[in-house]
Amino acid sequence: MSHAMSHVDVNVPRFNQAVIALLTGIGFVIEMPALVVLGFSILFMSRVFGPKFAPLTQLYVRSLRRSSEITTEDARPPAFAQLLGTLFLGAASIAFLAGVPVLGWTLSLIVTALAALAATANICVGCILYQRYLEPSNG
Amino acid sequence: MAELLRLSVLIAVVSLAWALVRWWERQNLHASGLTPGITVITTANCVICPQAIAALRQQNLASPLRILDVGDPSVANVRVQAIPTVIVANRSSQEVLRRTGRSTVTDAMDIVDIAHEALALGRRIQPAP
Repeated sequence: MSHAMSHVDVNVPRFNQAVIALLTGIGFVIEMPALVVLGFSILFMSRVFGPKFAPLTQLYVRSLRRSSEITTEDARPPAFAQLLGTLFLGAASIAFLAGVPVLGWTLSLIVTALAALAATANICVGCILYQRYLEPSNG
Repeated sequence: MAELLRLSVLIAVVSLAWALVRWWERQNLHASGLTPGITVITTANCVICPQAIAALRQQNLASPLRILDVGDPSVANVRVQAIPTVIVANRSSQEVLRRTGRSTVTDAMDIVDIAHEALALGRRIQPAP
């Protein structure tokens, strides 16, 4: 279930975050919860089946990556951030299905904001939480 | 209130999409080994290239100014480079035309005008024949 990689191309999490922010943001603007569910499905597939079956990761690696020089980073913090995003969008999807759209959009917009922040400013709140509270070296 | 929030998110989404496009351009640029600015593709018989380069430098138009010989392998990647960029070569540079699919200009001052326009607009300018 974990499919842990030690390092990841720094652009892969950024690309994932940008697309998830776009999907959930557009979903909110045009009032289309299906886009939030799609975002959840993408993240869920990535979590359960690993990078080989992660749609956005494969899209980036196979079609969009141009440079042969790849800068990598520790894969665990962005993976934890992705897990949080999956949980939030999963809860949002359940809220939509349960007929509580206000809760669904609130959870979804939290993901939109944090994913956009990470993609554009490289401030990954999930990564910071991981590094501060869960990283093995920090106890 | 909800409409205001929706408008804010719409602006954020458009900004993010634009940032994604620019990031994609930078990816291409990095892969091409080129930098934004003015690219002058020179050939052995290019009469206007030295004049154009001198004019561009004199007006501090291109920073950085990259000068490529037509035989430089980077020329093949010029088509994917990011903006703002002007490609300059003389009319007889059929090799450049073939490789980049671009038109050429024949007058050094045309090049300067095009460079002004490209940098002002912040987008790619294809020089007119």
